[in-house]
Amino acid sequence: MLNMEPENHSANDSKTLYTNCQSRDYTIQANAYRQLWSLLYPIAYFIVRDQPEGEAIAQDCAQKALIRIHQRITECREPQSFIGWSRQIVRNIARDELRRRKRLRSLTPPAEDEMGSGQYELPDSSRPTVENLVLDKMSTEALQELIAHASVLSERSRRVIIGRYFEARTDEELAQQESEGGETAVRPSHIQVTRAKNMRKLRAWLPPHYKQRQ
Amino acid sequence: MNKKNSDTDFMRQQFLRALQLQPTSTDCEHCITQLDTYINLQLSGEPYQKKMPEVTLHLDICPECADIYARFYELALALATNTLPEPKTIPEPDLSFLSTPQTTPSLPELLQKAVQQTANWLSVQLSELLLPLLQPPPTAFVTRTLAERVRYEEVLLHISPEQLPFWDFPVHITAFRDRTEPSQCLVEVSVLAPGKEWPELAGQRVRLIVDERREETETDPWGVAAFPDVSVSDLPRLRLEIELNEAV
Repeated sequence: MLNMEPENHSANDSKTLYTNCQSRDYTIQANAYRQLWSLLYPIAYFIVRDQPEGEAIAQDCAQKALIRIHQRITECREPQSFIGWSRQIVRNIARDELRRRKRLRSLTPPAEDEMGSGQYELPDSSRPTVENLVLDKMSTEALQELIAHASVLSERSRRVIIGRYFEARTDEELAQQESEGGETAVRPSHIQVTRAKNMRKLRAWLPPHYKQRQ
Repeated sequence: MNKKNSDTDFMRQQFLRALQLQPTSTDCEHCITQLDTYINLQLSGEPYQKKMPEVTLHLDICPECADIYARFYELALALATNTLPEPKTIPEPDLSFLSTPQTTPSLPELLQKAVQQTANWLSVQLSELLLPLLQPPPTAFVTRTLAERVRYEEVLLHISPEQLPFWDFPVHITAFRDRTEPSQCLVEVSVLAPGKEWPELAGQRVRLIVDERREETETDPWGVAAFPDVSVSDLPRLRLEIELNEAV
């Protein structure tokens, strides 16, 4: 499990909150859940803040988490990790909500500006195996040359792909490189997302004859 | 072949795979379950991309999972450095679920009330209270073709044997939304009769009952009984009965 325990909360804080959330005194219990809410809502909001109606989604996710924690609190086997356990729950609920919304969006045709005038189609799922493709016969240098000339990729995208696959550089190293001279820091997570989006563009861009069977 | 050439060749193969592979929902579920370990290694300064190359590869071919990874990574980093931003406003929670503890029983309590055993049959009665608690597991239970997996990707509910410890008969109950008809779903019941394994799991009778609809089918050699075209809105009233007799 990822360490979701807060640095500024002690194990005793977790245990106390765990105990108070199960208190038979309504006032104590309600205050405990309000305290828990103040810890969970910021996490839900952090995950979904860029979504349309992000605040409403965060509220909905945090509310679901609160209820689920209430119903499953006895499943938390380590009271000293109760806060981390609770944060894991709200994080996963927010994650599932994001994925659900993306699946719903995928059922409708994408906007033209998202897909670049329909230029980038998703690859055919019946794509031939690697062994049968022209690509497989290309040298490493030729593959690198292909990326360098792929018109669908920006300069940064090329660096990120070539850096990973042809220069064996970590995302941490690439992030540092891309941060130099820039106004904002680039993080490894940005590098990963950039690479994933552009690998998809590259797959769609490849000319048909690269996919012919031998 | 020296190590450098071996590494170069491995990365070349990974690049070719990244160009060729299509992410499947199973791959996505598997990747999501690995993200905590992946990010832990990353934040610890370990060579995470070398230690978990399949996760790295999947993140390279699946922008959706890459997006989830990025959000989880940023969150973990913010929590580790105590820099999680405070939202401008924090709304009040709805604590009405606390008012009467009996109105929100726990999942085990609800499941225990929902299941019954008669001489020859096990039965599960779903309900409005129970349904929201039956969250799908990270890895959905799948025994079907690739095309069907795409059609029945979204898991609406799942009951696992661990949630029914009072039954000796391991049973999985799963409902998958039908992507081609989102108001409908496929309900699958997987029965693992004690002492039996594939392909001897066929022949177990399973019934689905909801309102006027009453269907009966038998499990296939993998022990799965499938009921397609179930209305999603009927799920809270669904009753499933599993015959206790040994499979034929």
